[in-house]
Amino acid sequence: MNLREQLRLTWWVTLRELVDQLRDWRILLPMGTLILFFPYLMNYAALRSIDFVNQYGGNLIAERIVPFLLMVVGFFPVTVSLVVALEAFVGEKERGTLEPLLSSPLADWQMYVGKLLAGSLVPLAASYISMGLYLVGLLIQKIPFPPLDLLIQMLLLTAAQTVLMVSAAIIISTQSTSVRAANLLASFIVIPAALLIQGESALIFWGTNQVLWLAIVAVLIVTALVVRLGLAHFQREALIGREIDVLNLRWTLQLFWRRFTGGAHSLGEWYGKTLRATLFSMRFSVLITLLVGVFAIFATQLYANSWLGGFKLPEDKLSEALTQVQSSLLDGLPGSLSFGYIFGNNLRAEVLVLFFGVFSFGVGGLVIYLLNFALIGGVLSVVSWLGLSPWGIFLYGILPHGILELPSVILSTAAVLFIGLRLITPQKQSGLGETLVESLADWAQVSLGIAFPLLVLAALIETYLTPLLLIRFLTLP
Amino acid sequence: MIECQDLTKHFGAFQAVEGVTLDVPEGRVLALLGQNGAGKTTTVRMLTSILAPTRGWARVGGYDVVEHPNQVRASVGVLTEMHGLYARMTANEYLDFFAKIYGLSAETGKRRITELLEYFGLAQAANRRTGEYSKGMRQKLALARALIHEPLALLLDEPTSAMDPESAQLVRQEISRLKSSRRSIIICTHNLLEAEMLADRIAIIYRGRILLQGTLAELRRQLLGKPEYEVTFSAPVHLTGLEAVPGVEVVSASERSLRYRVESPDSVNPGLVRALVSQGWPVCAVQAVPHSLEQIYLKAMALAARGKL
Repeated sequence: MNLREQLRLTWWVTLRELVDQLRDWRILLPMGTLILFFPYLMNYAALRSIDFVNQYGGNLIAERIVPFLLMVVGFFPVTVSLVVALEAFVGEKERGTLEPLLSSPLADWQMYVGKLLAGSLVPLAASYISMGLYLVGLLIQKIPFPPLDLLIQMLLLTAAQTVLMVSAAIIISTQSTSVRAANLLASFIVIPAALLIQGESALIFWGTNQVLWLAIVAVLIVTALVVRLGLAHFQREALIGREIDVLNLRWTLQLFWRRFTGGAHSLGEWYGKTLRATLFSMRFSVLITLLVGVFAIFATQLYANSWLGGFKLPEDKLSEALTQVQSSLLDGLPGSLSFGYIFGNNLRAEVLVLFFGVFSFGVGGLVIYLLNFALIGGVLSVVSWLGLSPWGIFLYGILPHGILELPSVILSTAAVLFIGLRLITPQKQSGLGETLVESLADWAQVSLGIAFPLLVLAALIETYLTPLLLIRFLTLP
Repeated sequence: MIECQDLTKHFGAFQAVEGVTLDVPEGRVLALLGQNGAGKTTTVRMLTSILAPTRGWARVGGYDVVEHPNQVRASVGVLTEMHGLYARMTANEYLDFFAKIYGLSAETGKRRITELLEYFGLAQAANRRTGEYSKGMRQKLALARALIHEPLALLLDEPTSAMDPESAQLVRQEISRLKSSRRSIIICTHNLLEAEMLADRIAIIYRGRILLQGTLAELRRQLLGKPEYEVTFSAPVHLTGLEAVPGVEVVSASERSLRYRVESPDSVNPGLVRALVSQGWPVCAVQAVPHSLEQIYLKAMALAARGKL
């Protein structure tokens, strides 16, 4: 069967779902009301807000209110029609219509994509109709249109967010055992989506279109990863086999422990076999993390150099600044930072990488890691600008503890990235929950076995040795 | 052809199906009998490639259920425990949807839909939403869906449940027709009379294991022993000396009747009747004591519960 025929089968699944949705008054009525009423309400809100802020000369805010409300108008129909996606699979299971579909020759991806399209098309159409009505309202009320690029950004953001939310809802639908459970889990979509909208609103009011483009790209990447996650863990067997919603803590802990120990009977065996095997399996993640780190240092340095190059301080000011930096370093260094503070700070950074990484397939964690490495590049660039040797600072101020701290951060971040990679990779033997627990056990292996002990040693060096070396360097003739 | 060997499915520590071996050649019907939760549905789901076996293998229509799941699903028609109808679709739309996802051309699909709706007496209701259908109509439509692509193998879970006698008869006729057109059919049912009527072979599953498998006669022999016959007399008699008749094992005797078991009725019964008549006893009738599948099934379940099977 060629691709076109395969896509046609996918379309039949979509079409059936669409017809079903459009025959259900429980979907049509609230959706229709929202489409027709909400844009009118937002038009009114825009008019009143503009009048209000204009009284105080807030023209800039007034300009931004219009696209902000456009985005809000597009967002609401998606949240309402999310219920359709939430019951895409689990609803069919409850109604007993899933098994004939699963017994059909449709491939997993055809069923999944068919449902995803059906779940996305109605809310997207509803959003765009709402946005269109809102724009018509602006015309009627003679409110100036937002700039074209901002308009395109809003349309793209709405589409990306719709697919993101719907695909997340479909994942919930495949993992839940009842529509009720799926609806309860919907807050895990709506709340982050609302936070995302708030962040995007801040960008709109901030007025940085370039950053908004980056935000759109980021949302699109996360959307693609969520779709991939759903496809990777779509299993007919899990859909039909899972019957009861039970959080089996004992099973979870046993699975975690089994994976963590890897069947090792001694610490030596654990390091020699289990941890070694885990590190080998995450070698590509380590390589990617390492490359990202190196890139972050050099890219920041290049960027900072080009930026700082434009600022030429007079010789005497530069010398004064350098003296100030040196004296503040010398005064502040000995004993200023305790072991506990340094270790705690680094530990917090690695846990933060995990926290943000788990919810973003490793991407959020990698961004935090990237910022840390970028900081090194920035510091080296600034000290160079001040006339100090960056190599000297690196050798005396970073390398002594960095030789342990940097591998620790790299390995810990790689383990987080590996969680994301495993989540979006089809796992034949394990479901989504199982994969997540196993990946967290891998992270714990690497962190407790290598990364955290390295952090302890690095913090000891940074507390007691690095300041001495740095003083020596700064007082060199 | 449907065949499987050592088919096993575990859900964690729970053994849903353990070592099931079945063989249903073309043109044969196998009735899979068992209590609720015995493993019938899990077996069927493995045979339709919805569940992956923990151990063992299965082939349907020549395709391995693990290696070629899509081909297996394309060559099998499944009637599930629940009808699986979309309530807001009409029968026409419903069958059209499945015709399309089974890859039938528009023309073939239309022909099949017309044929099936006519056959099952649903043509008049073809444009009514299935949510308005009666239970029996839903069951017939679900069966029509299972047959839409003219599958090589059929897995039917309670095919006549909730049907009126005429409809059930219609379905049984259709199963017989399919059997004669060289389809392999497995029926999971609690209707033992239906199983007796339709099945060439019967398999009894208990707690995931096949307890017994064979033709009705084989199962009868295995569980209930030698065939049993009853002689009735038109006048009271005092039966004596029957122990002397070789091959006859008396079960019960009264003035009006005699029940006995015999290993080879063809050779023993004529001699026995001659002996009875020669004694002057008024033999009125000699007939085999019927043993229904229900008796066999209940005996099997009782033995299994006591761990003797």
